[in-house]
Amino acid sequence: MPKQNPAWSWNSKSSNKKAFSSIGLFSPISRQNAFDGSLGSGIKIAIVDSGVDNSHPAVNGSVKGWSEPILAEGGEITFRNDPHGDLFGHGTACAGIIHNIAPDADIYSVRVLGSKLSGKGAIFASGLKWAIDNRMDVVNLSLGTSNREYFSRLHELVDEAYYQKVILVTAANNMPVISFPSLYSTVISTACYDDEKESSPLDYYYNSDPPVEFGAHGTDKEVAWLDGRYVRATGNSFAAPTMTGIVALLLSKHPSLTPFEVKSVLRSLANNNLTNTE
Amino acid sequence: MTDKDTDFESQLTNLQTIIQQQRSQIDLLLSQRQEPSASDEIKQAILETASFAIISASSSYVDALEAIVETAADVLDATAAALFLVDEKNEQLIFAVALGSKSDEVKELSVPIGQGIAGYVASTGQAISITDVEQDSRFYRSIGESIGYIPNSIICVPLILKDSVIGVLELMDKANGESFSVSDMETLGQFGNLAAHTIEESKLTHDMRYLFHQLLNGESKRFDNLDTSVDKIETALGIDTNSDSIKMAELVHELCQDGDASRKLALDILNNLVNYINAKSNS
Repeated sequence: MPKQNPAWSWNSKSSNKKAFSSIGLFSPISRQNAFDGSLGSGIKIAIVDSGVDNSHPAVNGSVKGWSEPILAEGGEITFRNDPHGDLFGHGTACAGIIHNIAPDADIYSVRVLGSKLSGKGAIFASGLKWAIDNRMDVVNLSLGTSNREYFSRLHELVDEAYYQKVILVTAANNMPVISFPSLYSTVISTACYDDEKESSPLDYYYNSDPPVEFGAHGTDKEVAWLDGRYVRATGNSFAAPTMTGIVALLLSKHPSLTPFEVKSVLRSLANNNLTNTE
Repeated sequence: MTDKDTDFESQLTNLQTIIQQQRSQIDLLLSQRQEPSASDEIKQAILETASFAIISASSSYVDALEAIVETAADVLDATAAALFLVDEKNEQLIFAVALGSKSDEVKELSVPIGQGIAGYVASTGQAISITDVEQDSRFYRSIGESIGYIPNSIICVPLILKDSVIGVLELMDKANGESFSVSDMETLGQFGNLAAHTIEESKLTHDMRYLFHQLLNGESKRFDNLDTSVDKIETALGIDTNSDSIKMAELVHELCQDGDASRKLALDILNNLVNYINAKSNS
């Protein structure tokens, strides 16, 4: 069993990767009936990040829409919806990971990172709001904020997403700091794990000691980057898109699932569920 | 004894306790070193204690920052390192410390917040590690062309204080050519937390010295800013200054305005007082 990856509430000791037994209620669930054969068709995925380079071979034109919240001097937010690129490379990395798992899913790039720090909390919240209002099925949030000023606003949005059946997949912070929205209970909070080179891209683990609930690929991973190139990257922010892709496969095959049900299925199909290894 | 004296002694006692606990932890871990899994914990414990000692011994803001970066680079076998501070007003990252063969050139540069791995980490607060970054042409090529050094691998963590990212700590190129690992990220992350608090404390010390310098200059125009300066420091420290402290500052200021002899007298008295307090604390 691979070594666990660090994330606060879920440290790197392998002894913390506790095996658990499935209960009878979940036993009929299998990867075969959950998402085998699914390519993510019909699923809309928002990547709230630094933008996506849609021309990158790893993304392969899968971006079908764009949104960029713009903060005016008076505090008003407007949205630009013309195509944009990627400023850092990170959003393209997320898109490449997701597209590799769910190639038929439609990606929407919500660019909330730019050349300014001022107003970034408001812009981030607006980007998330856009994703909910525009009925995304899954939202990848490989970023967060430590600013408590936005605790309530983000909490409202996360609850709204839950009730609208929008699945939010978040990256836990690699450091022991407060970070929203990954600490809210309804999101799928994700960290990465080590020793993944020989495992399948769909391997992931369930952690029964939240707030981090799932561990997925995100260590020394080849990812798409700027200018059509690739780099190898490590961090929880590269694990979240793996879970996003898996959720897309699941929802494509079972579109009526609610966030709670999605979590339950993911738990049942985790690699450390003893039932799956017997 | 004033409340401040009590606070100081209390803090000193706490710090000594922490150091003692860390020493005990190292002793314990060394006794278990035959277990391979213990190596990371030993490295971590040594890191925490060593860096704490070095940083605590630093007498100036610049010394403290350099000690942070040097210790981080040493522990993680990095070839080069940089510590950037966030300049929110100008939306850029400023090189506060740079270590490596081209460090002098790097120190002259600043980086727009919307570029590169450091910019991403400053914007998001998320730590990341990237290998093959020489391909990240937009940022590192421009820096590289300026200084003649393009790293292959980078690990970057945020310095977070009071819910805000105040800077980023970045290490480049592990000596053995390997990628920076998740374990390295965890180590550097804890280092970043320590660094953030040390930076804040160092800044306050620096501000206090500046304020004292203002007072000793005895220029009435600058003295008018005393309340503002005190308010700024109080806000940063989260304290309310005793009105006696302000009165004392006013008296020092008044003495300084009396001329060189009075200024020298005030300085001697304060020096003797500080020496007495230090000797008492160390006894």
